[in-house]
Parts: sequence; C-alpha cells; structure tokens
Amino acid sequence: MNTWPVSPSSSQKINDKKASTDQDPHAVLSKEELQTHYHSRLKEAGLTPQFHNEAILHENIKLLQEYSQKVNRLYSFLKLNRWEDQS
Amino acid sequence: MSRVLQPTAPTASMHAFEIAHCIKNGTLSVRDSIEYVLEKLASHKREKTYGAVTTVLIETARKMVAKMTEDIALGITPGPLAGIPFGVKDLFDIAGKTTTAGSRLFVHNPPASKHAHCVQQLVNAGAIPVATLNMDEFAYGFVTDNAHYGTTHNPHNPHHYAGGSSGGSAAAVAGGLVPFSLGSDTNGSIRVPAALCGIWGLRPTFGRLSLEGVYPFTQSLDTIGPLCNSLTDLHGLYMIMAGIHHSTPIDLEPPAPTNTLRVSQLGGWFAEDVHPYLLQKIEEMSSVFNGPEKVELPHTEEIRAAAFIITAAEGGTLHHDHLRDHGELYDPAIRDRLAAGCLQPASALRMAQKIRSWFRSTQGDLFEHTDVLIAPTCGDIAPRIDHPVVMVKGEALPARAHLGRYTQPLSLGGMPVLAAPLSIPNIPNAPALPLGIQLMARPYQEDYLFAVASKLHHLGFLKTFPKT
Repeated sequence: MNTWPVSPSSSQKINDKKASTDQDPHAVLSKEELQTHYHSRLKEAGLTPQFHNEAILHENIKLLQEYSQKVNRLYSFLKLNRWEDQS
Repeated sequence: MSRVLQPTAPTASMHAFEIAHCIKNGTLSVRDSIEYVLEKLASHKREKTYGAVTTVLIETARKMVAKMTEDIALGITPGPLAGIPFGVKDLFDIAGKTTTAGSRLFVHNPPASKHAHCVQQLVNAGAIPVATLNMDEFAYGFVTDNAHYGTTHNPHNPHHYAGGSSGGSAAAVAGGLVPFSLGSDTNGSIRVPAALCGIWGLRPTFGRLSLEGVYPFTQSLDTIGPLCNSLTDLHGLYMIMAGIHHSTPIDLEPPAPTNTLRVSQLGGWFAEDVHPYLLQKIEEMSSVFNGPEKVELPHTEEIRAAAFIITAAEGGTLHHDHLRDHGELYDPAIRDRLAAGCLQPASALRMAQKIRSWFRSTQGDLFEHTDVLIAPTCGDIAPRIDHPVVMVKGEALPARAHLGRYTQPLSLGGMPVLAAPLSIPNIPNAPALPLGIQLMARPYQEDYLFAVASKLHHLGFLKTFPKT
C-alpha cells in the first residue's frame, strides 16, 4: 500500500455537500433572476448571452461548483499552497 | 500472426495485419481490399453503418490504391500496413479534406494541406485512410450523440450508445466497417467506446504520440491512439505510430506473456458500482499474478474533479471567441458546457492544476508494490439511447458527463492505459453487451501493459466481443 495521506472522512464529505447546497446563491432564484444573473456574468466574460440557455448553463455551473469544492478540499487537505514539485 | 488466412476476397472479420499479410503474399489485391470497404462505408442504410461515418474518402483512397498497385508491380515492397484501410475520428487532418471536429463551425474552412502527423506515419507504412468518423462535438462527451451528424449506435445493439467521444471510431471497427481506426482520449474518449463496443484501444502515455494536425480539446490532457479488433493489431499500430517499429510483422507482435510482472486490482472508487460479473473477473485476473491483491488510489473523487475542472476551463477558453461570435452554430448540448467553463473562477483551475502536478509527481507510490493495475473501464454495459444515464450509488447521472468516472481520474496522471474487452461466455444471464477493463502502468511502460494483456488474452479472460 502506498504512503499517501488518507482522504477526509465520508461524513465530512457529506456535511460539506450539504453545506454547499445550503449556500448555493442561485438555489432560490426565479427564472427571470437566473436569466438576469447569467446575462450579466456571460457579458462580463465577453460572451454573447442570447446564444445561451440559462437553465442548462445553471446546471453546468452547479456541477462545476460541486467539483470545485472537491478540488478545494483536497488542495487544503494536502496543503498544496505550500507544496513545490520536486520531480 | 495470430491467424493465417488465405482469402481471395477480404472479409469483415479480418484483422489489420492479416490484410497486409494477404496483400504481401498476393492472395488479396490492394484494390479489392479497399473497394470492399468503400462499398460498405458508402451504404446509405444507417443500420449498416451505425451512424459512425461522416465522410467516405473515395478519391483519396483510390489515388493511394493506384500508387500502391503501381509500386507493387514495380517490385517495391509495401510497408507493414500495406493496403489496410482505416478510419479517423473527424478531428485528425486528412490532406484535401476539411476537418470538422464534429462541428458545423468549421464546415467552410479550407481543406487540410497535409495529413496529421500520425496519419502520415500510418500512410507511410502502407495504410489507406477511407473515412472520417463521428464524434461528440469537439470531443466533449462520452456518448457520441451529435446534433449535426447524428447519434452513433452500438453495433451489437442499435438501441444502445457506442460510447464516446470516439464513438464512430469504435463502432466502425466493432461493426466490421474498417479493421482499425484512430481516436483521441482526453478523459476516456478511446477507452469508453472501446469498452462499450467490445474492442481494443490504447491511451498512450501523455505526450508519447504527436498531436500535430489533431484538433485539440484540452491540450494538457489530450492524447491519441488506435482502436482495433485484436491485441496484435493494437501493439503493431502503436509501434508504428510511436515510430519504433521494425519492418517485419513478427517484430510487431506483442511481448510474450509474462510471469514476472506484478499485477493488482485497483480498488476503492474503481470497485464501486461495477457490474458483478466484471468485478469478479477483475479479481480473478489479478489473482493470476504476483503482487498485492488490491491497491487503492487515494482521493480518486477529488482527482477526477480536478480533471473535470481543467477540461471545462481549457475547453471553454479554447472556444471562447467562437462561442462569442458563432454560438448559434454549436451543438446545444455542448454550448453551455463550454460557456460554464469560461465562467469558472481562476482559483479553481489553479488548484486543479496544482493537484495534477502533485498527482503526476507522486503517482509512483501507486506502483511501489505492483507494476500493472486492473480496473473497469465503465461500470456497466452501454446505456440505452432512450435512457442516457449511468447509475452511481443508486442515483441516475447523465451518461454524457459521467460514463468516464473510471477513466477520467487516470487521465490526470498521464499514465498509459490499455482498454481491453472482457471475454463474455455465451451462457444464460451473461451480460448481453460488452464490458471492458483498463490496464495501467507507470508513464512510458506501455510494454508492461501489452505483456499483461497478452497473458490475460492467452488465459481466455480477454476477447473481442463477437459481432452477430
């Protein structure tokens, strides 16, 4: 078996997931609010809002947020902010 | 060669090197070999081509046939792939043809001025490109369900997906349209369709094969490789594509089965939600060899998440300007996935990249006590087209994004992975469609994969899924 550090516990993961859902800033937005929100974000990113479907975009953003939290968790757990590649 | 045929006409079941062998010994002409395939590819009946073909390269192929026929008549020995037809995922440049990458966006682009580097290597060895093949638009997906070019169906049951994003490449081989094809694999796009169609595929070590002339998706993860119907073909094609082949077919044979390598099952994440028959066979395969029974990859879920974030960010960035100016031309299923990638915070990408660096520098620990790992490629048979989901912990998740849950984490490591079809007996209650495994080793140890696959093949664990 290798010597890597172990993952955060499953219960911690579940709690993180629940917290992330509770904190989803878009979870209670109406369709119109969602449209306005993403219209603005797409414009900020230099994209053209009329080409996009806010509901589908929202689903994809939620998935990426979920994955970002997993990435963030491991990054912190391994203290990668202080890690330098020695290979 | 694994089989020796003496045909006067080609057959759909012939493997690539068998065709070359017959052409060299004069029992099959180059013209017959290619015309037979062109006729099959040009069929307008969708049930005969599985929605796998986007363009038939009639003119290109016939020109090459004429040249090769002339050379053979002059006594020039053709290369090791003499007269073997092959197809390419429509993101490899073919001289004289516009590369679409499965999109409408590029259909008016000028034709490519030369072949992609790997296509040229195969052509130099005597192979003849005959078709471009369907894919998820810009290779972003695991199902080959394309709004512009249609859905690619599984040749073993048209109600099921072929997998993706190199689904056309896998279906064309599994359906007997071409003896081999080329695909690309960013997060599993060769391995997933190879598994679901019951054929062989290789994702070589990241950076091992040139991507020149291949339309990119996520350049820090992209690889290319062959898909085919036999292990001998897979090894020979890899040797030629890697530029390390010798001229005689015997040198292209896979390494002899080995008793010295240590082989283990990759457990944890890779043993969850897996078809019981597949899991049982993986355990049996692992027990044949020395080495620990099981090895686990810690943090698999987070490693996969990092690959997901990097893919979304790099893919979104690559397409940013096209999305802004021509967003209406994108497949609706892809457009908002790419846009979401553009909206990600930079910090998420930076953390994911750091995780990748850490994973690549520490993955040697994974192979400290073993040489080759075995894992499922997909957890189950191909999803139905009318119910495009995969089941994970009792939850139905979209197949387009989640069919690669066992392939995507390995991509981040850059290690070579060989996808092999599980031998499935013709008995009641056996899986009705193909299942596949992945074999992986340290970077640049492709030979280990071929040696272990060769042994498992000889023992009857691995076998191309038969076409009914």
